[in-house]
Amino acid sequence: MFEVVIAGFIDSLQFSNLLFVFIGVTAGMMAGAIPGVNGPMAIALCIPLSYYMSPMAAIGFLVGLNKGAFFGGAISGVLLNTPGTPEAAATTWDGYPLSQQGKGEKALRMALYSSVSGDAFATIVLILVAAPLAAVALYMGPPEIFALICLAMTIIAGLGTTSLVRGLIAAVLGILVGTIGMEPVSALPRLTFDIYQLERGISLIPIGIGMLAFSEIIIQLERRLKYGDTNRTMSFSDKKEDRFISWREYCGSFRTIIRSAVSGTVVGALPGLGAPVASFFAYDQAKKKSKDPDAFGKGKLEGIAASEAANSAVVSSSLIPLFTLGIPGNVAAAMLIGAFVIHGMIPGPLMFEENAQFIYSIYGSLIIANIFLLGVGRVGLKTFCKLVQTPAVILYPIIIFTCLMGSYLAQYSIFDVGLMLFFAFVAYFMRKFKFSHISFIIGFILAPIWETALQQLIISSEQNPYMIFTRPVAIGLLLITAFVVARTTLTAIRKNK
Amino acid sequence: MTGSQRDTLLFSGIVLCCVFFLVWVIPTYTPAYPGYGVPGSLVPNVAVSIILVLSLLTLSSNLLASYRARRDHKKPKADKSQVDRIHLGHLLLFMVPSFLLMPAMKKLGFLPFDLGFIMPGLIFMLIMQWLCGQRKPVPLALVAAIPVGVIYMAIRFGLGVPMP
Repeated sequence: MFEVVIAGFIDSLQFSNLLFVFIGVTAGMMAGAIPGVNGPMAIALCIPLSYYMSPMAAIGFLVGLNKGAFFGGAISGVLLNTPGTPEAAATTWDGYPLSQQGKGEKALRMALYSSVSGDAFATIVLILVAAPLAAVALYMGPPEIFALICLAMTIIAGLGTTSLVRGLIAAVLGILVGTIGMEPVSALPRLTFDIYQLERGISLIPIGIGMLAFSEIIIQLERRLKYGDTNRTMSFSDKKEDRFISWREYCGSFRTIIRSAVSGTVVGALPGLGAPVASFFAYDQAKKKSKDPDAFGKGKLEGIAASEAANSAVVSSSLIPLFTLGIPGNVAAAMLIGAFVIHGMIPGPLMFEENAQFIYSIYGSLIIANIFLLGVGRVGLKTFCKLVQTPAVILYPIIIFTCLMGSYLAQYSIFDVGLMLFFAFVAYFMRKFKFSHISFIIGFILAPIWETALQQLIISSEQNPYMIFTRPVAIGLLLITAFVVARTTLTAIRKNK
Repeated sequence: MTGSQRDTLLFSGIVLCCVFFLVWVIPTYTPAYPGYGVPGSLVPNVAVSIILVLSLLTLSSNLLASYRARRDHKKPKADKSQVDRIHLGHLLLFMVPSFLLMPAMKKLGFLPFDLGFIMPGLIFMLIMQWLCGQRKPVPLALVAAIPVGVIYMAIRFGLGVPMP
């Protein structure tokens, strides 16, 4: 076992892997810095490129992209008060006031060091707990997996919407779309509407690019139509104390960073909560425990440290449910499932038995990505700040064109481009009517696992539906699911009174 | 239209679609039960049924709330979804050229080999920039040519992908 761990970490030090992780971190920072572009969108656009990489390089690249984007979101948030990603919103509360005082670079350096620290903590937790949890998960049979996915979908249905009922509808719609293709038992076409291109099923790439990237750009353009371009002027102080973080300042925030990293790790490990919940919770806790809570919101470095440490911790900890149970904790992890499947691997507890060395090479890539995040962030900070000023009239047509070409790249199919546009259309209206497109994507990804578990459950029980009552864990999970759905439905009905 | 009216229309439409799926689409487009395992229509039927039940619940809750609001003479909330002619027109302005790009590329090629050929990628970028509000000719030309050229080189020669 020890040899496998060492071999995995050594694999991650291959030059090609290092190169792709570096490119991923840099591209992710650039993507996150641009308002309107976020980590999941960047992953969706870059997944077609991962076809041409080795599995390790592909996952390292996409993980680096995600890590870079999480920090990159702080750049536009601090400098323009427009967070590049939702989880950076709490960072703007203290980052932007500092920027207005000419201390934008100081704020960004604190954001960088906190991100790296929070991410390092969560990566260590991932490495330590994932294998034991996966060993426990192996004892779960089809009834438990079926019930767990029902519960996960219910929790995840709250992502990206204020209404759990609409989130559930979106998630179940995603499951329905996931059934399009070949029926697994009879191997005959199902819901293909006599379109032969649908017989191979719908790939994640057109859905991911259409729903996460293309529809987002259309909505950003609508906002621009309504509000016009924002005036983007930035100025930085020349004084050293206004540009750099001293060791004393970092140590002064260290307790907050660790506390926030812990809360970010816990939130990230629970499917459905997401990085924004982590960063807001950590900020709130930092303010409550601070000796000077009134200073928060006026340029307090601890506020930036809390938010960034928490949201960066989510990046690695969201891989815990992914690796141990095969369930994505957020949309970025959901897109990573697509990347794993493209390279012939199914995330889940069996990965630790069948591809243990690969898992440890991913851990190595996570650590390397964190180191690159620190290096690239320190060196390239001023350059990324200039990216924030890229005019939308230049950026958005390029992203739209990239969406179209990225969809084509997946299977060299013009039909996939049409599918991408169709799902962009669907996502546009889902967002307008407050249905969660994120729940849709996760439902789509979980559909085959859920159906397989259901089929195995029914076949192994010899068509006896009462068999599930002999599995206490499965019953417990289903009862929790029913409780969550009932409680949310009653809350919605009471709200409407 | 108020928010409540919009929701009533929306969920009524969803209920009708679900009924249509259950009654016709799923029986027509799913394979027959092979005699073992699970029928292919099970998961689609379960999924559509869940959507139907949730939609009916939301619809009835919405109708009840509307009735109570009218009874209590409360002012209804305005529709904030911003799905109107202007926004739909804006959506179509970007969707139509995007739908036309790939068939145009298939017919005419990604880049010209002779002068005088139409270049779908470059024209598409010009149209997109124009729709985004770019009016300066030099940036129009540069942003049309450079990304298309870079993406072509990267995909065609870097990744070896056959272009349409």
